[in-house]
Order: sequence, then C-alpha cells, then structure tokens
Amino acid sequence: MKKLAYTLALLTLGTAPGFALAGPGGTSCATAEEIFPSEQVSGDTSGAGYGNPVGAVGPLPSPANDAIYKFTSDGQATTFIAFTGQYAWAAYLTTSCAGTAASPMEAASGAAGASGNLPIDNGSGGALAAGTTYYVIVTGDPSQPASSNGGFSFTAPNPLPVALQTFSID
Amino acid sequence: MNTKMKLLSLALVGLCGFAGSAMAACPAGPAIANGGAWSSAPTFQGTATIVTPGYAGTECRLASTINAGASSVAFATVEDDSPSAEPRYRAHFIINLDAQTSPSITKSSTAFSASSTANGPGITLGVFGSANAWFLSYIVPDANQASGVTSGSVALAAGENHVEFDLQIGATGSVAFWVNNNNSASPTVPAITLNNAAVAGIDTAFLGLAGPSPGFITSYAGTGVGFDQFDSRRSTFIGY
Repeated sequence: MKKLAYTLALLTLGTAPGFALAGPGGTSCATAEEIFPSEQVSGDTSGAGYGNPVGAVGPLPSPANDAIYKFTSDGQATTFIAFTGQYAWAAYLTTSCAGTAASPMEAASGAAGASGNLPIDNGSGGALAAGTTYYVIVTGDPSQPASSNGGFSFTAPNPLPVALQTFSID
Repeated sequence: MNTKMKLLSLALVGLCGFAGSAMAACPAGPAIANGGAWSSAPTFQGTATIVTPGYAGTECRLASTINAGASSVAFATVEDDSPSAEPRYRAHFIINLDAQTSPSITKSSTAFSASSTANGPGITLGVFGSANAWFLSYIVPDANQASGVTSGSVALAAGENHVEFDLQIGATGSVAFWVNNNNSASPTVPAITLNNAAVAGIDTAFLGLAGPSPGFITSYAGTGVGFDQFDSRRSTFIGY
C-alpha cells in the first residue's frame, strides 16, 4: 500500500475538537458565533454589548436581548441542544436570523433555573437541509418584558454523524 | 367625518320569522361574493369558513383552519380592503383558542395583520404558547429600534378574548392595546411611542391564521381558531 488517503468531512456542526469553550454568542446576526460539536457554551445577555437585534422570530416577540449562534448542517442529524438559563429564557432554531415573518422551526423555553431541549430538526422531526446555515437565537421568554435577560449555558450535540466524502488506496 | 371604516362582524346577517320569532342565517362564506362582508378570503393550505355559533351571543363566527400537512407559509384568512392609506387605524376582534389545547412555545401563528400596500406590514398580531397558556403577540415597525420593530405580548384568557389596538403612524407614532379591557382610558398596554413613519398608511387587513409554526401545524391541523366581531375605525374607541 503506497498511499492511504482519506478525507473525512465533519459536516454536521463543524469541525472543532470537542469540549472547547465557546464565547458568549454574537451580538448581531452578522457576528453570529459558530458553534461546534460538543462545545460547552455559556453567556449572559444582561452583560455589556448585548442588545436586541432580533425583535421578533415570526409571530414570537423578542423584546429582550439576544445572543446569536450559527452552524451549518450536514443534513443528517436530528438531535437537540440542552439549555439551562438563570432567567426566563427562550431559544429558537431558524434559517432567518432577523427581519422575517417566518415562524421558527423549533423553539424551547424555560423559567429561571430551568433546563430545556431545543430540537435540532426541521420542525417535523426530519433532518435539516444539508449545507444550510441555521441560527440558534438565545433570548428572553417571549411572554416576558424586555428586561428578561441573564445567564445561560448549553452544550452542542455530541456525538455527531460523520460523512465520509472520499477514500482511496493506491 | 365618518370615523367608522368597517364593521365586519360575522354575526347575525339575516332575520326571518313570524310574530317575534327570529331565525338567523349565516352567509355561505366570509367574502362578499359569498354573502359575507369581507373583500376576499385568501387561503393557502387552510380554510376560512363561517360556522355557528358566533361569539358574544351572535350567530356566526369565522373558523380559521390550517390543513394537515401544511407548510409554514400556509394561511387561512379573510381580507378587508376598505382602509385607504389610513394614518390612524383602530381595530377590534374576538379570538378564541379553546380548541387549541396544551399551548407551548413551539406552537405559534400570526393571527392578524394590517399593512400598507406600498410599504409593507404596519402591525402584526400573533398567538403563541408559554407555560401552558396562550399569549397575544404584537410586532410593530419601529425605526427607533435596532431590530426595526417594537414587540411584546399580552396574556390571553380561556374562552373569548376581546382584542383592540390603536395604531398611529408617524415619526412619533404610537400603538396601544386593550385585551379583555373595555376601559378606553386605561389600555392594557399603554401607548408605546415609536417611529413607524415608513409605513405611511394602512390599506389592507388580514384576520386569521398565517405562517404557523411546525408545532402549531402538527398539533392543530384541522382544528379551527375562532374569530368574530371584527370592527375597524379611524379614531374612536370600539370596545364591546
């Protein structure tokens, strides 16, 4: 065997090593922070720099501050992101970060101190579209006022499916 | 000035009978072409039909229903084209979500919108679940906000909910809401000052479900949300 060449592409949520500590999330759609497999993420929307770039997600109001993440799907995984918030929080999965009337594909919320799972699927239990960028928006519960901000944490899904793109032996 | 633009109640539309007895009749459909009062009844992957009984003691109501298997761009609405670039627009309607059990944040839909033909949405009202209860959401263009909108919510009660708002358009525009509140001097959501000058004026209103979330479709396909007693005016409080 002269050569063993292979390429493994991690398409589901990225390619970073697991258990990296991600930042507090983007403060705008343009600066949405990419999340990777197994990342442990924490942030605080009451902190300096956070604002309310996403005023609504479809018919869901979002008057509180937002922390914005994104990932690109491989079209295979259906999983969930487990959230915990220290305030009345909500999290949305959507393809449109802002300025759209479309409802989120998935949503989750919880009271202060409560945990909840944001499904990562197309809203009907099916896979996301391959190559599409999805946004995860963390904000206040839509039934709460603009002051509903605070700390949160979540862990990106793991394990993740790996798609083998090419493999050859010379 | 006639300040009353449109009373589009889906209530009693006909009477016949003898010696004081009355028999009510509902039109075949909500649009004028079918005997109703609405300009049209645009639907896609849903239906907007008249059913009995109505709310607040009336005979007929609108049932807005999303079909099973519908997409998130489905709509089941009635349309009022009687407004004409209105710089101030008030509207009232009843909404009843009793048939939609176990509300949660995954279940949401637009329920009303009023817009400018040239400039887009002027106000959007929706429904969403939280903590096993329904809430009314409002989203209004606001150039003073980074997001471009002012948004918020009001809790809905079980049964019939009277919803009224007063939208004023301008660089110092405003919006106020009354939900199950018949006191014009004390809005449920006091006037919020905003900059919605870009809207210019309201030309069209849509009442009924639109843009439902996947969770709403899955849970409530085939089950209508009830609406009734729609009324829109330029300035005077409508109440009930």
